[in-house]
Amino acid sequence: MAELLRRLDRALGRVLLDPEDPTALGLVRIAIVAVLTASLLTHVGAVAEYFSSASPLHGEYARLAFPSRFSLFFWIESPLLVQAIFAVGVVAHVLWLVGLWTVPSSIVAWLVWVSMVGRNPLLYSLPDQLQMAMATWLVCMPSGRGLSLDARRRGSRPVPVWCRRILQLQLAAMYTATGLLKHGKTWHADGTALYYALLNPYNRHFDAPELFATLQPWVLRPMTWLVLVFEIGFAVFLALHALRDVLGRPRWLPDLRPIVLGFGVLMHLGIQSAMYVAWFSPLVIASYLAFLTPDEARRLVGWIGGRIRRRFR
Amino acid sequence: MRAILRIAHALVPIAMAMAIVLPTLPAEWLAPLPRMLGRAQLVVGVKQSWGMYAPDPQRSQSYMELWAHYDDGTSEPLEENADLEHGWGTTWAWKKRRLDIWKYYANFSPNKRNEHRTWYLRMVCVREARKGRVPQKITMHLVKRKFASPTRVMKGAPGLGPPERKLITVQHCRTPPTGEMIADDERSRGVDRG
Repeated sequence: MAELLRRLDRALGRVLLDPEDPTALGLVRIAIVAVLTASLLTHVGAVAEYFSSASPLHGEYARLAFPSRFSLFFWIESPLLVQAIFAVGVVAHVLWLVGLWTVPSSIVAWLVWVSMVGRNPLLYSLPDQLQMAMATWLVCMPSGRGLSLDARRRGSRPVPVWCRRILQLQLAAMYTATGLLKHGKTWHADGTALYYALLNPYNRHFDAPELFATLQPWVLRPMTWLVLVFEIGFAVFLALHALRDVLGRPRWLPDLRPIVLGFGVLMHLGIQSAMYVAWFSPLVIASYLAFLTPDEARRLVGWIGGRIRRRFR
Repeated sequence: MRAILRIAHALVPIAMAMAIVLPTLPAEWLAPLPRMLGRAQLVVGVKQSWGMYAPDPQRSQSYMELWAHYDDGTSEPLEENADLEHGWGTTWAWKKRRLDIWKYYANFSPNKRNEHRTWYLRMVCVREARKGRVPQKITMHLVKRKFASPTRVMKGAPGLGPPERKLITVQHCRTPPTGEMIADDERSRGVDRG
């Protein structure tokens, strides 16, 4: 019995609780918060129009329109105050990004996002949805323990391994859920889903139906099916990746990250270049950093630091 | 004591994992847990329904066409109608506003009641009233263009089909609650129409 409990405890540690170097989580924080900050700044110039009494939908009617939401801006309506809170939010994002007073700054930054999305959720779409999810999980993690000004002051402290696993799980849930919901014939029998997505003038970057129709049988149809396999298979990839970690990365279980995440990066870069998807691709690629081990993250940070030092020497 | 602390610590990521995964499961599997978890997360703006391009991507694009009708019998096209002219080419980030997303939601389910549309049109009534005259009503048409299949495009058809126009709804600006929204807005801005 004691041996069984000891083994369970060991497994619990490997899956969730073992401490690890905070560099990888710090790197993910920097990347995701950079995207959040950029996305936040795109509101500049319209903050009062969207969230204050300057909006045609305000006061009790805004609360009536979106009753299931929380927002500070349901109660604070003055355009000047709303803009001031937004400005505080921008500062909080910068502090969160550099990891200074990370816990309070992340809470303030998150609260500003919650308030904006809650005040009028119809101004936000699916890319913002992933943003909100990632921001919420990141706030719940000790992400300022590595690669931060806080860590410089107090020294670097380890973080539990579950932090990166939760971010990985969020990505897998998004991919697999959407993949399973794609049961229409454009994704299956026809293989025309990418063709139609590229043709939509609501978000296409290029108006080239003849080119897309020519590419359809040889490029777009196979890509449509490959995307579907990638999305549905992401949950399997995550399970194998976690198993490999738990088993101590045995040789017989290959590292699938270069193939799966490499495909994901290319796919998202392709989407970003072909159509308007707001900050979705940068956010997803930033979130992929959660798959780096602390050693890999340290090497990457060292490499980037070395290049920067050489450039400014 | 150490064991209790470890279990308590483990409950944190387990709760987060459940919050991520359960709302994505079909509601009938674990009803009503996924729905409850989904609603709770929605309060803070987190949504776990990931249905982009599902079950199929759009095979047509629609834009709204809005006209304001006034007491004196005149009608005016509204700013939304710019999409009908400029919305069929290409789009880049700098051309988009967040209000475009609301318009997009407002166009959903043209044959059914759509709360997003109702609130959008109420908002338009207030917006237009702020310009001076209170419209009697706003009419909304949808102009839809279907996308041609690859086979048809290869045979020479254009990528977008001809526009099809359809009346969707009429929003009266003086009836409750829209009339009250306008009155409330004017009170809050110190406007006196008396």
